[in-house]
Amino acid sequence: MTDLTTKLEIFDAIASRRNERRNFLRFAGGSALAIGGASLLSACGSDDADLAASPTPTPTPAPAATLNDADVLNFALNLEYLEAQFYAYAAFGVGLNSSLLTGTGTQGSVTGGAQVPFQDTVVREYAREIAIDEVAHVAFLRTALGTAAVAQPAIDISAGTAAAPGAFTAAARAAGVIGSTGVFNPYADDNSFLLGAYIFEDVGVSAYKGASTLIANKTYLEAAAGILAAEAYHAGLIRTILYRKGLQTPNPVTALITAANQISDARDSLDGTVTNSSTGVIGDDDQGITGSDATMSNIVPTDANGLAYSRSTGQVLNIVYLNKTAVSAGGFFPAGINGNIKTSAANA
Amino acid sequence: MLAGLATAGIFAVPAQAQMLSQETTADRPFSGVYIGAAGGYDVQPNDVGSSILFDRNGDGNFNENVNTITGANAFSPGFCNGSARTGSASYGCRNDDDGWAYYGRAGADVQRGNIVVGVVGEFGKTEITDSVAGFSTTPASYTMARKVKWEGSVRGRAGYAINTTLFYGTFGAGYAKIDNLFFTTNTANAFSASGSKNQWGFLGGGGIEQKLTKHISIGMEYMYHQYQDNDARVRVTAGTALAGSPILLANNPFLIAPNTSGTTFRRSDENFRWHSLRGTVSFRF
Repeated sequence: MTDLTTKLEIFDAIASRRNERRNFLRFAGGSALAIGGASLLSACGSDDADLAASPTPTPTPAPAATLNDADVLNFALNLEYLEAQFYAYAAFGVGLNSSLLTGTGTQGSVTGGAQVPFQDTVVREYAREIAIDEVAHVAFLRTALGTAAVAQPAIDISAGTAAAPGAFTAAARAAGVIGSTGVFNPYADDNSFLLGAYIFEDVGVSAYKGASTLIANKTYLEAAAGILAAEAYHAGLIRTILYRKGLQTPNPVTALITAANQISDARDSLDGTVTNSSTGVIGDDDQGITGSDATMSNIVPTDANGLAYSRSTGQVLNIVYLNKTAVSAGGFFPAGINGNIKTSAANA
Repeated sequence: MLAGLATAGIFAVPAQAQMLSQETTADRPFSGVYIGAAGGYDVQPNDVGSSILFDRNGDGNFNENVNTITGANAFSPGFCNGSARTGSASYGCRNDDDGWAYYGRAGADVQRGNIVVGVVGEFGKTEITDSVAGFSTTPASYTMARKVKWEGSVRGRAGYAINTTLFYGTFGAGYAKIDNLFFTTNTANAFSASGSKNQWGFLGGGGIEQKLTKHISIGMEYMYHQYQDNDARVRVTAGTALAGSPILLANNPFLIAPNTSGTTFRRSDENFRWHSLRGTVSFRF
């Protein structure tokens, strides 16, 4: 049985236990606060403190991937597909083997292309030699790129019709080589072929020179220099034979010199380095095949230091897209080119 | 009489509790065997300055930079001691993950006067993760993470009891399975991570335990854990995208000279350390 005294002791004991618990919880709570505070403090030392790039409070867009050597060689490969198809059709009447056309991106077909009925043995042999070189360039670049190689994009190397002009006709019209309703067929004869080749060759030289600063690996930079040299040889011989035919006796074809110079001016207009109207030369990187006098040759288009000129990738695309604005398709590449370099420069 | 019985019934249990709760130091309330559980939240110190180290020349020493083909530092965007949010350094890192922990424990104590000594064994798991990340100019990120799969420990315990309250310190050996993980946004190279293994470490801390009844006690405990974890390696080789492309192979910072077979990563921070704050509950036999 319990008596009053016992009851009082019980109440005392309950109070005592309550105090013990309170003391314990007070202590424990203090500990929790202390350690909680410690973890808060640790959180204050930002985990990102040693990141070199200073973090920003609001996320900024991720930077675009920088171009690598494969991107640059793939850009070159697109141009080589164009040149190789043109010369292969012109010299042999057939395009590249289908095994040389596969790769990443969208593979396209070739519109146009035909064997040229050469009359001049020299032109025919030059065409054959250049065609073999250009096909070899395609094969070399594809081997170097391996699985990273882009597929051949859709290519237009046709003359087309007056109503539906192909890329060559569009280029010739824009340059004033033919009238606005004319048709330019680069496969029609020796001279037409030479002008067609002239449209491409100087572009190739300036493209490789301009891309040289983008190639990091010296092994592949040397290879690109080798291709640049080959393209320069090609350009030199095309320019030489155009100049020679323009001055030959009998029957000088002066229209060839005029047309070549018009094409140069058109390229300058497309890539934004237009001839200065007052001096006639300032900014005229892409020079024709004659100097200030029509009889004076200008086979090698160089500056005052004797250096050939460069084009940026965007400027090159201005010319092959036949468009001075920033676009990603047109002209000789109706569906654009494959790879990470696709857009022409804004020169309008 | 009925009222008397009822009164007796009402007070019988509190009376018993009162007698138990009035254990004193002289009763050696902390002597004996017990089982219990511990749970709480684990936090990490900031391992500021930690990074990923590289062995480029294959000599086993992690003292080289990974450079691009032009000689520039491929990891110039830097490192952080957390996990990368994206492949871009501009988005920064997530802080290391703190996490909940839960353990089962068993132990035995002997009390002599106010002094309590004992031994406690513990087994459980913590959700804590410790990461370090690097950013390359690709841009890509590389995160090396470690986490505790399970942890066991045997510790000595010594304390000072005041009636039913025990203040104690504890120190002992730990044995843990530490998983090493690797994440990257680099899709060109191939990566193989190794180094997940059981590691020895130590634990030390202290706490307070309060008996509520003769058999039940609760407490709060701080514990520091440290494990050496220096075996984590990530081997970088050519992925399928690279293997088929000579120019990509020739330019890949992990595969260029002086060692075209690849590169090995390890963490600069060789220790996995964290702090626990846990509540405990024990049943004393």
